[in-house]
Amino acid sequence: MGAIYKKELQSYFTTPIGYICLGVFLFFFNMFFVQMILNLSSDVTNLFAGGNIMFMLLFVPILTMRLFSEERKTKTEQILLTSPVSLTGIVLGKFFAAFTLYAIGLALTIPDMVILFIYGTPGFWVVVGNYFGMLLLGALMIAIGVFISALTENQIIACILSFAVLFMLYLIDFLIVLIPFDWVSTIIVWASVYKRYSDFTQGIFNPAAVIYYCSITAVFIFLTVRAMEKRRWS
Amino acid sequence: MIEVSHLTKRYGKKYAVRDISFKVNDGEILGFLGPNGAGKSTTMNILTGCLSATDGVAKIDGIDVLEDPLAAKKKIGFLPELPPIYMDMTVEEYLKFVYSLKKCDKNALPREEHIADICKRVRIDDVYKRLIKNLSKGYKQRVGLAQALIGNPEVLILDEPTVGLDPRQIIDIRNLVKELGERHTIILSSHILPEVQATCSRVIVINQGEILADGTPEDLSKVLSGGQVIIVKMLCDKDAALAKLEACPDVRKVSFKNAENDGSSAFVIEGVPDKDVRFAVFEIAKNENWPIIGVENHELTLEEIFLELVKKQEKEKKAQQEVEE
Repeated sequence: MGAIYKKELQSYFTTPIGYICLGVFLFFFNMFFVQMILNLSSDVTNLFAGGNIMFMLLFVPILTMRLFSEERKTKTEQILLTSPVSLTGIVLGKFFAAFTLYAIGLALTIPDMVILFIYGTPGFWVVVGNYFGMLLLGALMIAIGVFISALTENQIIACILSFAVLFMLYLIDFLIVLIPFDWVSTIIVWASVYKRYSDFTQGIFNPAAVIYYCSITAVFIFLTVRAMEKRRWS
Repeated sequence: MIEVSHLTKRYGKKYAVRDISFKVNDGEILGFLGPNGAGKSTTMNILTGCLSATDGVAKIDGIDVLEDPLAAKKKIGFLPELPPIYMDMTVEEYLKFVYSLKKCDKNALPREEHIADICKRVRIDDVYKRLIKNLSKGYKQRVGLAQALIGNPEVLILDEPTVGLDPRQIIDIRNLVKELGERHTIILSSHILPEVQATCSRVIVINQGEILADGTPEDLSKVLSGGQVIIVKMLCDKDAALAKLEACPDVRKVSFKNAENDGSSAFVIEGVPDKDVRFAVFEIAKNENWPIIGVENHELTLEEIFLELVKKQEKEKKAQQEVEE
């Protein structure tokens, strides 16, 4: 697992993907940040939950699209499959590599927060909560992207499908009002990926939300392993 | 070392490999011979754990590849049809990655020395610092081979190691495989007979997922042709020579091949088993005063071996059916 993690993380930086992703991520984040400052606000929740989530919909699929599909297409996955590493190890290695790049992106926004603390009065736990929530939400989104990447050997398809799924999960919160059955909307609200985030924006570390994010992430990693296993057996 | 019994791989109703059994002993170089789509790669993929079998067992050194895949994989170095190399890495980065991927023992095989040793053996030390995507096809293939050697696996499985290389590189790789055969047990696949003849101590011929023949390369062409086959070029009258040769008791079959530019005629002559037909031909030529321009052994090509084997197989099947009826 360690070898794969290192290799994937390195390949983000030996190809332009890592730099471009981080660059674009920081560009948008800081744009929202500047806009927030100009509004004389220190409402970081709006920055994270409003702005950040939106462009993570695009950012995450680009991070994850090539993880499995490219290896499958160039047949390099054979070296992974024939090495003494378990499938779970392979999947986790790749997942954590993408997650690390994402975490690096988030870490690079910390200077913004330092500026905010110097010149403003944001709630400390609100900021921490938002970062914590962003990490959990990011892990979940990356797990979905990793899973979809394992389904196809075409990077573009992996990217578009991941985007569609993440966007649909985002939209569904707004479509709930259109559903006439109460029990359906109750289930959707309960299962909603982005609704759970709201606790963190108030600096509340709700264990239910933490467990929810971790378990859905685990489910998608498990599904990825199964998808790889299935191809071996087909 | 390698033991395969009743291996079957089915895709829907189509069999890619059907009830294959064979054994490879320590230190043997086994050649898998067969046309494209015969099931060579499938068998190799199952042995290396890339694919699972529908039925049957494959064991490496007594370890079932399905039951304890991690332990089995440690004993195998695999070079697939397309070398599994990452284009945007340098050779150095790539081999170091493989080294840690294969979890090599740092005490028994110190990283730098082990990699340097392998690079020397497959002769890629001069491109060690270069990006893999900028290397030529032959070098890429050798980097693929280097990857298979890392960790000193006891078994090497090479899927068409010389495909797409130029003649000099092919000879290089063949010699390399022979050299490696001294330290490893090797299975290699090919659809080129001379290649298998040049490198392997044993050959398995496989077609449509079934084993047609198993033996040394010499055995194989002997069994098939029954006797020695030579091509003789003589300065002579074609019809007279045909008549004389056919009359000779040592000759089983003779056919006219073609007329050469120098005015000689070439004949394909098959002798009766266990006799050197060249003596008989020489006697005839001497008596008739026909100068012999050239004699060469006629090697069976893969196509011929193949057709012969398939014919034989069909005959046997028919015979079996008749017996059953």
